[in-house]
Amino acid sequence: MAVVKGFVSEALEESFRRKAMEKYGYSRGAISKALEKAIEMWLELETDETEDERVNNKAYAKLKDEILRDYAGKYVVIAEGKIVASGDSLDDVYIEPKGRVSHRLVFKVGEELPRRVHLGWRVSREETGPTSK
Amino acid sequence: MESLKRGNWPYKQVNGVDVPAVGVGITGPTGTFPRKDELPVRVDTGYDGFLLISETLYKKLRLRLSEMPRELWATGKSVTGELFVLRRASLMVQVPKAKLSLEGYGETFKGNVENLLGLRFLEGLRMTLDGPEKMTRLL
Repeated sequence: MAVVKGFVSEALEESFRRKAMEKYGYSRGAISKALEKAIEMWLELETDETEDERVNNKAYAKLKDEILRDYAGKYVVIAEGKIVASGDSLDDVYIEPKGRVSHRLVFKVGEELPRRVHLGWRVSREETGPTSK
Repeated sequence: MESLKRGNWPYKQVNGVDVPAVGVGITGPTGTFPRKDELPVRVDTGYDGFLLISETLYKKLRLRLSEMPRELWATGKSVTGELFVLRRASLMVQVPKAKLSLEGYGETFKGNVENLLGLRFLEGLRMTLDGPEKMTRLL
């Protein structure tokens, strides 16, 4: 567990505390639970990153050296934090996910992809509100 | 006339302008869109990537189930200098008329409504743009 420190307005603090108590009861951990939920939601809104996605990307970072060594030129699939498939083509690894999987990583090991992409003149976007990046 | 057998597509109207397009099918981890026929997608040599895909289609194809690691995502830059984070996922593009299937990737960004085939897609093809006839022809 970690401590998060910051300042908010008294009105916001009062309203947050009241809502947390309503939701999680008048217990000691109510504020922490509500704060954790609020931070999770904010992060999801800001980064669009789900828990499954975070777990898979963390696994990729951890397994990267092993993947580069053992799977060069192959497609690899990471789901629920572990390597679940590999193959020579996308067809080989495009299998229907079982259960409630919301995110998987599928990539060709060692493929060089551009990190900066010019989008051209024609790209237009819908207004997505204040969370747009 | 070999090219006519392999595939040709009329230009597509976008905002009152006729633009080159290729009819494709896009296969993600849970299926292909469209299931029948083909989706005419604009060819844009001003876009460096393989396939830019609208957010809606990215969701429809469930591309979060074939996404690349975040460290392989790109930053997109518009001609006006605006920067976007591009989500990137592995996918296949079929060109049914030419019986072609290409492995590649699709990328999107928040609020994107466009589908574009870019330079990376064109690397694997020989194509002519017939301006007077308003036709894209695959050789």
